[in-house]
Amino acid sequence: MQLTSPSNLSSIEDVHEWLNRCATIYQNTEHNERINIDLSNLKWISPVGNAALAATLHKLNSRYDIIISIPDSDSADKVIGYMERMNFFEICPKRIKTAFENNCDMEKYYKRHRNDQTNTLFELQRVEDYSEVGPLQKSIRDIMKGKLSPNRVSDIASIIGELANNSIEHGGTPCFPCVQYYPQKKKVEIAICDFGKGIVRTLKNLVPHNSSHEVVCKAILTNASGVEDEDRGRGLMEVKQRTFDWSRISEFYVRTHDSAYQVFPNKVETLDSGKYYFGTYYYIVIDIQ
Amino acid sequence: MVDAMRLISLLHQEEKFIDLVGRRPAVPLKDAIIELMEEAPKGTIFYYDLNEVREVNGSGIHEVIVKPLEWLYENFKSHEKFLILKNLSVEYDHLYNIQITCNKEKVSIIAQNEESYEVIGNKAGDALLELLDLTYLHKQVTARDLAKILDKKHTLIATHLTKLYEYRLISRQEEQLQEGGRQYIYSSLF
Repeated sequence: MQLTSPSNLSSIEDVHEWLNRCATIYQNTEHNERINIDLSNLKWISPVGNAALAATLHKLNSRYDIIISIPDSDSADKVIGYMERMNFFEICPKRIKTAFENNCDMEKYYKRHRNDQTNTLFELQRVEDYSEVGPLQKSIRDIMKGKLSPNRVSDIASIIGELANNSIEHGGTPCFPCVQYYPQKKKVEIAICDFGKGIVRTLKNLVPHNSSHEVVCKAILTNASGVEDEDRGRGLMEVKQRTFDWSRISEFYVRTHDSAYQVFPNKVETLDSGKYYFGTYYYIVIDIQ
Repeated sequence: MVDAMRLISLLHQEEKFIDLVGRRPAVPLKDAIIELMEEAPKGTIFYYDLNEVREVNGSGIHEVIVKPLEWLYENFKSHEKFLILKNLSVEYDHLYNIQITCNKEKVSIIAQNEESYEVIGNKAGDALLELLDLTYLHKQVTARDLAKILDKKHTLIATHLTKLYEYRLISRQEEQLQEGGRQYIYSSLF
């Protein structure tokens, strides 16, 4: 079986399309069967693309015998260079890294100087234990300190911390966060993805609902919680609040279960529905004008 | 009379600091705090020393600060106890982060600074905060004192002071008046 990546992995729509393709493989392939993951046509990858690719490759690697076709287009150098800069090869399954090393000169990327601080970057991490969340927030604070106002830095650190906790507790898998600040555009992109069971499967037995979309809405707009009989479930509400409190034109997307959503200050809209695949994929663009 | 302030340490054994950043790890800490509050003598003023705390987020604050406060509100008649914060960190932006959660959960807590204090959270509105300021300025007041200072009705001031007391922002003692009757003397927590 072949799993081909879209040419771009940069928007929530691209991630949604990639997950639909992963779902097709999941539906039609037996455990331990060989699959070729074809990234040869990958021309551009963003922070959320890196995080989503890392999460899905871990899931695929746990189930299948995977081989990789590495990026091979005119943009391959840029794509692989950015993936390396984002720490992707330290986070992805080892056999993926080996496949890249066997098929191109990765040393030239590993040996590059990383002096360019124009776009402040919190590289992709793997977080799988509660004890890692505090240091994760602190690392983000240290990197962003002096570039944004302290309160904005707190918002970003807190958003990542809350979402990481959700992944660990409800998803039951590691999660993969990263942050990039673009001073020219005055935007901060936050991505965090896991390969757990997703919001709908976590909550569907705990909140009344008529559709899976309603479950996702309640998860984000109310204090619905994956833990029964406890006064909690505020994490996603706080993420939304911190995203929009300072700027209504911030963007908040999530892909979970079988659909991609855009979250607004007071509502959640379905962007597109597709096929169920594991994980929850958050992509938040904070406007800091 | 209230006792001297009592530290509730948030640290586990051997730890030098703690991050209050998630729900699940904070639940046992919150349970231990409330147990400690239940067992302490009436009138105890507890405090957290936030020098012990580095990173915080909404889930951690809700569990370790908001829930004990809500327990104190619910049990103010049987457990006349209080909780304040000391040594908020600028580096970890404690004030802003705690404010967000306290506002959302409609609770208020006093943070003691070196020479002053700050009320975090919006449970008490402006009218109450005016009385709170005067109480902390004079350390001890009666409704009659403040009614005179502000030229307002004694009954209104008494109602507001009772609210501040129920919100655990000031303490009070009952006093027998020489001319007969009783009145409350309201005190700042420090």
